Amino acid sequence: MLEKLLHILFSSRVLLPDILFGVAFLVIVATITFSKKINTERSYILINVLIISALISVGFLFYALFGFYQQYFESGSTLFGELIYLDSKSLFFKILITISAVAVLIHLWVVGYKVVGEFYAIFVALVWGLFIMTMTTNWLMLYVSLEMVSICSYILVVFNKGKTNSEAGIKYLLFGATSSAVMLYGISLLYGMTGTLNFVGQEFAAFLGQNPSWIANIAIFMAIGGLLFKLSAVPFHAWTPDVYEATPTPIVAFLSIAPKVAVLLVLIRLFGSLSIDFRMMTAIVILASITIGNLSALWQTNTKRMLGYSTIAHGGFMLVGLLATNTIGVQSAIFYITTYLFITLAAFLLIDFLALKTESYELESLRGLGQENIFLGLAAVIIMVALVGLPPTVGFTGKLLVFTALWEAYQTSHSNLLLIVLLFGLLNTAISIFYYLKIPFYMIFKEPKIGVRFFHVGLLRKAFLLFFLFLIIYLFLKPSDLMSLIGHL
Amino acid sequence: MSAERVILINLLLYLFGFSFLLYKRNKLSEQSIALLSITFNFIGVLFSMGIRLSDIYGDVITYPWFSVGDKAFTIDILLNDLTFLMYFLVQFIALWVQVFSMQYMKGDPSFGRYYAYINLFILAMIGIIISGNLLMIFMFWELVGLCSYLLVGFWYEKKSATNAAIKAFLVNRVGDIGFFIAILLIYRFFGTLDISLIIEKAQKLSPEIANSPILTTMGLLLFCGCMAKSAQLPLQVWLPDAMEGPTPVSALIHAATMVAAGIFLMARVYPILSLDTLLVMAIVGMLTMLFGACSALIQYDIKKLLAFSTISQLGLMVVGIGVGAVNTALFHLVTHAFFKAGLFLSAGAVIHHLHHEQDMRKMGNLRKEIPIIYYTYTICAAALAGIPFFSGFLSKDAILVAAFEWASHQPKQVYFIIPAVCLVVSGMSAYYMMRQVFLVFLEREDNPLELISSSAVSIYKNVAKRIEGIVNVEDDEERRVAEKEHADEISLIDFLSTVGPMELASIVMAVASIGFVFSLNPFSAESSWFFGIFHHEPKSYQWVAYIAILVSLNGILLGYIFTKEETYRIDNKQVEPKGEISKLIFHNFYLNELYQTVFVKPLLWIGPKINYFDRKIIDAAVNMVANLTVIFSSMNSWFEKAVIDNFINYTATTTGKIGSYTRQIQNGKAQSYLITIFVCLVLIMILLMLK
Repeated sequence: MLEKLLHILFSSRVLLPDILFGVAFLVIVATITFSKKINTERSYILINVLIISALISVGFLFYALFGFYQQYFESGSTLFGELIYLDSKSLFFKILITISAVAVLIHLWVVGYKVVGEFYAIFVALVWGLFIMTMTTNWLMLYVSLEMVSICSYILVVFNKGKTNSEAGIKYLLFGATSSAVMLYGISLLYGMTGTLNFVGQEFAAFLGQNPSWIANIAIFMAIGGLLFKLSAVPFHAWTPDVYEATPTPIVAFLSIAPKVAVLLVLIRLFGSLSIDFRMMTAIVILASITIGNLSALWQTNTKRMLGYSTIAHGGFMLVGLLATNTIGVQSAIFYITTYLFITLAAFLLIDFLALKTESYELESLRGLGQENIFLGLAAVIIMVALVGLPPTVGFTGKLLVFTALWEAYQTSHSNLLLIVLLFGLLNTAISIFYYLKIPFYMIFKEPKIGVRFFHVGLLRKAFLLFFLFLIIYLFLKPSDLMSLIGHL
Repeated sequence: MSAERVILINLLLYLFGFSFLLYKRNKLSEQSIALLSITFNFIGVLFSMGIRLSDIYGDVITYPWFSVGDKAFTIDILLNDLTFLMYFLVQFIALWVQVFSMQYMKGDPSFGRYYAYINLFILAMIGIIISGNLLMIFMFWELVGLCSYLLVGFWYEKKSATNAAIKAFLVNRVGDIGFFIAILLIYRFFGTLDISLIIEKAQKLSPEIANSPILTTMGLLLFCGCMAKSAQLPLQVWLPDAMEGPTPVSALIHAATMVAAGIFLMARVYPILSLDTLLVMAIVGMLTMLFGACSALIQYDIKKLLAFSTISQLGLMVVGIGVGAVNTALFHLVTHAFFKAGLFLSAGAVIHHLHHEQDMRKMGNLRKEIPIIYYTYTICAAALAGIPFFSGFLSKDAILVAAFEWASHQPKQVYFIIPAVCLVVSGMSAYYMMRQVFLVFLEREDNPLELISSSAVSIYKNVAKRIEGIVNVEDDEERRVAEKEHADEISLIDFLSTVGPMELASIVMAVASIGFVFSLNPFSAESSWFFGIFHHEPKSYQWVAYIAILVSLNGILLGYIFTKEETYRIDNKQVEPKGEISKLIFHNFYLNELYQTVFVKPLLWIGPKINYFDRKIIDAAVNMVANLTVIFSSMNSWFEKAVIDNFINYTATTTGKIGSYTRQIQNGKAQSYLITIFVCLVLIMILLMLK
């Protein structure tokens, strides 16, 4: 009994940052509830700054813990029984989530979105859910955190109270609910097969291996349905374009990256411990996501919708590293998502800056904007080239690494499936050039409708976008800085 | 501060000057632009003196640059006496040219752009001077060419200026091709581009190899670069046209520094030049100086005359290198830089005074109007003519002596043609300078010698009066009388009151052209400080120098007599002189027309033909491939649309509708979305089961 209590105390100590975060959530809720003037301009800025600084300090805390964990817990530690599993990977991914959260809040701030106080409470809860998702190996805990994230996301999507928002929110909710149902069904099947909820344990692998491969595969596939939903991978992708189109851009930026970061870590852990051959399943998901995402994006005339389809395709690329089933594959997947984080945040920031001028997200409205503001024109070129995955941007390095990992896996296993995925991925990268480069093409080469009228983006906005652009180029030149960090995980 | 840091700061200063002035060219006032630029330049001059004091003086500083495979390329900074000398020379002259330009370019709408280009030019020129390897020299060499292009075509509204700029640029490219091939050959042969290493290796070669065809080829190709940049026959045609640029630019780039870069390059690589190369250089130099001097004899344009004289003097320097007297040639380079810059600046002042009139026939009697310019011009002209007590005499005669010495060591008497031609040309240069001074400054009927002496005497008297006046202050009455007496003479006070930036710059150049600046013994170049630093072998043909004096004086006398006679039949409307030979030399031996017929016209003729071929055959082939690609792509896209898309949509929807239908579904009903999920799920399950 005493031992258990000590364990709980120890666990609480280690999880202190997360617990503080929960407290922050409660404090925000209380403040909103009991103060009336929360919606004034000043308090809006105040709360924004407070949360940003809180998030940054939490990020630093994680970073501090990072060193601590490497020193004392080589293989990670299980806390609260087996519900929480904390290792340096979790911390790294939490840092990524924190970065994206801070970036999104700054994005809200510099572009000048007005949000009600409740937004922050929901946002903090969402981030908290993501934190929990990164440190669990328990199906039940995973489901709880996933629902936490989902529910918060549904609310964020409908926050604007517009008609399209509600429509998108309802669709999102229906989809989420369906995929959760599929996931729960899968989890129940798995529990029946293995008798354990901990999916990295040895029992899980051992019992799962006793079943016929296809049955185990189907169960696993269903169980990760909710995760694929968050990753917006085929077949759980259909919500993406609608939600992306209707939701405020910063929130979309957050939804398009932070949940994926958390989900990718869960998938890395799950696939790392599976005793069955899951490559067929993953390959199908990858092929379908990449192909459908890219081909549908070709037709889009709305930039946000287009980016929505592009995230579907990128979701597929992220899984390519996992398909390789080797250490390099995992590392390259982590590298890919880290760089994609910067690129996608920059991309959404860019289209929001453009929308400040045009007040529209239609491709047609971008005509000649690059001529009117050469900085945004250049930024568009860099970001879109990075999304395609061409040098001299980090997008290229990321794609190169995942495909190299895949090629190495092919060399050792000679599985034709891997080769097909490799070729298809490369082919799709080529296809994606067409629609990504449409944005800079419209901005730079098309003549503006009513003559060239120069306009300015503020210094703060410029600086913020420049920060991402710098990272995109810098990490291309020195990927080793990031790679060495990932190598220590 | 170590030398390389001094140089780096200096270069960055000019780079900053260039970019800042270019960026702010329309925002800053003229005064602030000029002040900023001149301050940078002044700091540069101070720095260039600092280099000599530094501790690693006389060394090569190497930084890694980039590597291709296992071949590493480096940035080399070569610091020796030659570097120091040129480093100082370029910046010193540039400083005064900038001071001069302050007044000359006043009110020009592109004032800022002008100073920005000058900064870039100084940067590039210093780059050539400090570069320790051929690749770097080549890069800065091109940059200098670019600056020349920009500054010649500075008044780009003028068609002739643009044409001249393009011509200068293109002709220089011809030489640069040779230079570049030479660099490649040298890299192949020596395995390095570092000049000091090349020289080290070249000195170890046996005489047979050192004079082998391969080294001769290298030398000649390098000389090709020199030919274009230093305006040697047959590539000298661009220099007279380049006079379309602003006159201070002509002083800086086309007289003192850039055109000397070719000579500088040949001096740097001298140890690898084979005997055959040197002989070719001597002959080409001789022909160039002869041609240039001939053309200079009867020009009407004040600047064109100076340009031809520059060509001629550059030819003399090439002869100097050709006969093996490298340091003597460099000595002439230095003296020439000063007096030719002085001549150009004075000419600029004349042109400025006459509101951009350049025809010498319309000038005259300027001696009284702009006395200071008259004196500076005369001093510089005397230096060019090779009169004793002036710098030109020292260096020119040193080359003459060296040439005679060289010819006497040759197997045949024929080689004496070269020094003989030098002697003749020296007389010719005295002739045309006299002619110019006469036409521009003197009263058409006056006797110049009398005038010079009388004005000198009057100044002396004036000064004496002044001193007397100061000594006997009470003697006011007498002074007033004396002033009245000399009211029509030039007084010292008037003299000084007319000194502006232009006059100041001209005076500095004129002072630097006086022989005492270089040597305490104005009759002997041997005793100059220059040869104290640079190695020089005493020559035995000193008597040549005295002949040269005689020839120069004769040239002046002839120039005076002939020009005086010419003034009686001067015709301002005449476009070219009468007589076939005169026409020939007036038009620079019709070289322009020759190139026009031999190179330009065939090119213009063949251009459309090639274009036609290109359009009809190559483009057609390319188009055909493109068309095939388009056809293939449309087939492909049909395949994609009809087969692949169908397949995808088939897997995506139970109904199996194509493309647009998917989007319709996407827009609307949530239930079809959900059905999609399930169909997909089931399909994937089936796939997994079938495996």
